[in-house]
Amino acid sequence: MTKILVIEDDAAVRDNIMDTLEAAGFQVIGAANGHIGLDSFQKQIPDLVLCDVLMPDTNGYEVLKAIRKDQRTTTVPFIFLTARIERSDQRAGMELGADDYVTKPFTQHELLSAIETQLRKRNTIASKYETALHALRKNIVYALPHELRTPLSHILGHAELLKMDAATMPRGEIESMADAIIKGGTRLHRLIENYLVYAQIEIMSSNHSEIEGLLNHVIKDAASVISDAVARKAEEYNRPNDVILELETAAIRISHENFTKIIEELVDNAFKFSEPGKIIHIKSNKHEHQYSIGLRDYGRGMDKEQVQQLGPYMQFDRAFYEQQGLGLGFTIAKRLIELHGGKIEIKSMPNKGTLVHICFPI
Amino acid sequence: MATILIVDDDQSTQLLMRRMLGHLDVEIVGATRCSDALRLASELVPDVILMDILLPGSHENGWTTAKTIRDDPQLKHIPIIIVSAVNIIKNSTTEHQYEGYFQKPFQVRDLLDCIRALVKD
Repeated sequence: MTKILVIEDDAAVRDNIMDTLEAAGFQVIGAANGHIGLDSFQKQIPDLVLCDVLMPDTNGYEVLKAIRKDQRTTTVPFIFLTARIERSDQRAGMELGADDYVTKPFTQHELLSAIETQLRKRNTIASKYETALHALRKNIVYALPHELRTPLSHILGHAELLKMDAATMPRGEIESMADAIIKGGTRLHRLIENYLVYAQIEIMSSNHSEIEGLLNHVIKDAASVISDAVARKAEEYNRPNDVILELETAAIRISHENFTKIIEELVDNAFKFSEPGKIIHIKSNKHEHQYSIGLRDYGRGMDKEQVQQLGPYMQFDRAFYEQQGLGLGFTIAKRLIELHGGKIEIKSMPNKGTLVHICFPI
Repeated sequence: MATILIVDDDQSTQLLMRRMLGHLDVEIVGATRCSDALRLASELVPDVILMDILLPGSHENGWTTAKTIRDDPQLKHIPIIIVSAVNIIKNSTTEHQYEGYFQKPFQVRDLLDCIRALVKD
């Protein structure tokens, strides 16, 4: 049953509210002042608090401050009951973390609908967190070990074979086993680096001064950074002839390292999801206020649902279940673009290909 | 000559297993999808199946494919070895169902010994 704590020093008003709430099916705890209210709060942790503002000793603001200080209870909905209607007072309460104000005198309907709104809001937030947490948990418990162990098994397996057979193995075979070890190591290395980069981005994205710091860098010739990054990837995939570049240049506010990372990850996906021989078309344009880049491949593409699933958590799943690492690289690129004030858009059709369009402010 | 079916969607893992099986006098067939695995299992009736768990396709995986083979009267005698990078949780229902459980990264020698023993039988 939903538990509501009513902190109100006027006994008549308190009883009246408690009767109303009990009649509406809530479990109600009454407290005659702020001090008792805080005490009941700690002991019973209610689902919602109704609290008078003006009370002797511990007033409503002090109660709210104490509740919001505690990490475990920062999200418990808190509604002030007040005779005051000054906007500046309301502001003060909202800034401390109040969710709503109900002005006395109020009708039963007004009180109940304010409560319902807050409870609904809390449930929506809770279920959203629950979904995200579930996906993250699944990722850590299930997908991450899989993705780490697979290339590690190539390294250890080939090393063990080399050790078993080195004496009798032809040179060519030894070399190809060494290649497999290098390939496994490179795959593992890239995954670990991307994980670290992703973690760093997530930490950074909650820190304003670090985000501002990102914009302290400028690259003067974006086109040359793009063509270098594309050339490296084309070589890696052995597809130098599949690339068409049509680049205009501009100066943009981003570090060389971050811009390269964005381009590399997006180009990598274009190569990965299209067959050798299919063209990858990269075009950039300088406009008055922005620099836009379009990457088009003619590969396998995605349907609408798959494009939508490219959210921060789902894409991990996709990445791991399909073992292609689309998700993590794409997430990193997307987050970096957004942190630099840019935008990314995807248009894709199954078996027709994918167009990724990004733009940065200039 | 005994036939071994390798079911694994990862090409590099297939390659590693082929090289490993070079130590035995066996014929090797590979499948990267559940549907191919089932088709090859009934066409060739291999002597041992090495089964990965996480395979493409949202409704099927290595467990369901292994179970389908176990439930088929023509195929249920084929020994199945589970080889997977996910945490293999053995419970009372799966523990004795399959002839081997190997988590990647596996010891090549141990897996070879397991296969060798099954091929000899």
